[in-house]
Amino acid sequence: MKVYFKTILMLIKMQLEYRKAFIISVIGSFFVTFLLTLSVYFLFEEFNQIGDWNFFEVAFLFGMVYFCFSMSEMFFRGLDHFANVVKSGEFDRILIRPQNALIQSMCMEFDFSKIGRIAQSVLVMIVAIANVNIEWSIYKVLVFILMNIGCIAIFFSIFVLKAAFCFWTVDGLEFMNILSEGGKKVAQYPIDIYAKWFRIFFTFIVPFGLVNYYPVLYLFGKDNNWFYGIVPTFAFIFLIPCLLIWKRGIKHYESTGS
Amino acid sequence: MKKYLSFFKLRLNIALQYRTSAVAGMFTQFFWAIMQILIFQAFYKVVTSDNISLPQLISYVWLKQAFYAIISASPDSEIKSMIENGNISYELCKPTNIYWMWFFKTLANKVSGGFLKSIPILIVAPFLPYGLSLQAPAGILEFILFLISLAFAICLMAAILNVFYISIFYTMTSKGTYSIFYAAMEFLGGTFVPIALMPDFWQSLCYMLPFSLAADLPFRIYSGSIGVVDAGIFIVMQIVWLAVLTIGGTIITNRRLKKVVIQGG
Amino acid sequence: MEEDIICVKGISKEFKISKREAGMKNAIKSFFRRKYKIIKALDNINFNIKKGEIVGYIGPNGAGKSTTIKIMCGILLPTSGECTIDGYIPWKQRKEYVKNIGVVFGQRSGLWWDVPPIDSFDLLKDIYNIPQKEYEKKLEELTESLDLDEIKNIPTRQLSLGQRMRCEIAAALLHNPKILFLDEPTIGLDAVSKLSLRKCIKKINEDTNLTIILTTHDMQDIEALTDRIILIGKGKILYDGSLEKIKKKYKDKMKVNVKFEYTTDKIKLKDAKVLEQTEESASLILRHKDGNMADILDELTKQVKVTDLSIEEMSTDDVIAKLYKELKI
Repeated sequence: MKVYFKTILMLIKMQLEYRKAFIISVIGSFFVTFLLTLSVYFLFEEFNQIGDWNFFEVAFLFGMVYFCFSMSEMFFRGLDHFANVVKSGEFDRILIRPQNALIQSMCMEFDFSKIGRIAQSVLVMIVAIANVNIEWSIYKVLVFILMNIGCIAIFFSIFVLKAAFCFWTVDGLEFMNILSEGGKKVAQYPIDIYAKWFRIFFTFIVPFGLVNYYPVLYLFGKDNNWFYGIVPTFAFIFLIPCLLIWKRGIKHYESTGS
Repeated sequence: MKKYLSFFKLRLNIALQYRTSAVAGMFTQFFWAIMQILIFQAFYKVVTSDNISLPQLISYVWLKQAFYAIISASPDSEIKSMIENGNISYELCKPTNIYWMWFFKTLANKVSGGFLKSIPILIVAPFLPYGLSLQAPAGILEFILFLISLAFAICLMAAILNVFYISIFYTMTSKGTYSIFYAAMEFLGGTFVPIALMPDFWQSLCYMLPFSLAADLPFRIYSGSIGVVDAGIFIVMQIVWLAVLTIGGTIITNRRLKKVVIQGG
Repeated sequence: MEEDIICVKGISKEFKISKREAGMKNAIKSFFRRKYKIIKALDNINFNIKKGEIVGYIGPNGAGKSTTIKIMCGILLPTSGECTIDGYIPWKQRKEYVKNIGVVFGQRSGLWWDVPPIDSFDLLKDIYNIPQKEYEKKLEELTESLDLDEIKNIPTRQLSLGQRMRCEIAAALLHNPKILFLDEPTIGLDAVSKLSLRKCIKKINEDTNLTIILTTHDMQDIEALTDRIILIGKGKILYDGSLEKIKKKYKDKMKVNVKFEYTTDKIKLKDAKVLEQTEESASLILRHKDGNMADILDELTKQVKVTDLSIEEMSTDDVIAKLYKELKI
């Protein structure tokens, strides 16, 4: 773990060397997320509500998902761009170092400029929370933190899965974007608006529903079942198959070397 | 003509080699379209938009997804890297007009690559269950206008991208700044939110700019959410923009090239 | 005699690759159904290497050099065969084993690009869990032997290739490995950098008794650093032994260029072949076994008035090229 943070610190240092490019990227990532927020706002201007959810409630979901996604993108970017690592043969080097291969892969890259996106999504979340009537309690604060961690864990798992697939093939990775990018889009809206099969997939297989829809029901007092608050915990189960596939991937890499 | 056919065949051959990638790309397209449709269905359950009906919007979503590779603002990777790594100076030595060379190269790559990607949707989407399916065009006239405006839209997008090439050629900064422009173009082209669902002020703003004329207009004409008369006016605007961008572009490139010659690079 | 540190016994490696035929019809066919064929990258490889030895591992591109290296580094599993390196089976106890080896890939950098090498070293210290004291000692040692003092604080991207390569070697040796794999270390270097790099490598080998396995296409690397070569071609070991012996075997002839005063007479020699002749010059091929040099020259001076004479020996590159040709690899 120490190695991970030290590497990341060094990568940040490297990025700050190119100051102008860095500032532009930060502004860019802020701006892109701003346009996305504006798009959601436009839809609510036209329609007022989706199901029985209003703009600020959806904005909360949006802000949260984008926050978690950007955090994952920032910290686990090496996994997101793992295809390059395999293609360039850099993974060989990872294997000849006496550290965990997953952690080393994680810190192959670090995109500090995503801080712009994080800032924008935190801003959206704050505005949303200020405008939604939530009766805060200590438990609800914990639920809020738990759902964010759970959501980051899901994105992390997807990135691990995506990286693992690179051991078999580097084309067809677009498919994995359905899970990460698609999951991000799906989870922007309360999942009860989708068709049933869609809902089941994003609750029980890729469990985005568990980290935002259900806990948010409880957070907003739409449903006072306290159990919904701890549902995000189950999202961590998704990590297990992903890590197993990663392990299998390394085995495969060892026998083919490509 | 034979040259173009063999070029197309080569593209198809390459595409077929990347089997997984082709299947994955198809899946992704369908997923995006269906997800957007599900979201719009949810919105329309309570209120209906005055500008565009749900079936019209669904057709719009499918078509936009089908032709996305053609009308998206992603630059030609070959040209872009050529400008960035300076290999463009070799191109300048060739006795061809660089503006039109860029223009047709972008056009050819986009059309040949994008056309392949549109086939699966165009075959499958009309036969999906009602409420998800791509509808027939609003009428024969609309369909003809759709084809015309699509053709102009593709050219318009190539012209817009040429402006981009020229600007990075001038300033030599692209990496960070382009992502900002790209997002703005996508937004103004109705990719984040269909322009028909934007507030009135934004709608009129977007339709004055070329981005929506390239990336949004044809599909609205197809679905019938723009009247035939308005469609005609917008097509004229497409032509005007196309003329402005190409004429302006050629003048600027020629001037720039003269400078290169005078200064010796 | 030192003991063997590396024992490779009967290593074979097979790969499955997808086969593709030309033509549209086949492209569509293979879209739905792929054909594969098995290729043998390594076929029963055997060799032993002693502690402190430098071995040149050579062969043409695609012969199986990097496959062997990868297996020895523990990052590739062989299809069959055994390999023990310093008591470890590389691919079985990889995390423990890799602490004992250092690897330098000539074409890929192990240093972080935008920071000075010293920062990379510092990070490697943590990656390899090197105690601070040992790290400092080793760094000092390497700074001296690789002459890093002036370059270790400059961002890596600003270093010349030669400077960077010295830093790469330092990075691979920080954790004090017993074996060093050098994969084309001199590729792309200018003549001066090559010489100094070879000197450094030789010195480190002598000072620390480090075992070095070197793959290269540059025969001068081999000549400067080692006498033992292992030659691999099409997955098989074709030669394992001293470079001298090969040189002797193939350096059996030399080329003699003569210039002489104008004549139209054809030169005729009993023991040498005339390659070409003009009115003022000729080149001859002379075989060592065919006759005595002095006799031949004696005969030559009788036929023409020699004004200038030079002898071309075959270079090691020529020898190897000839060897490859003869072995059909």
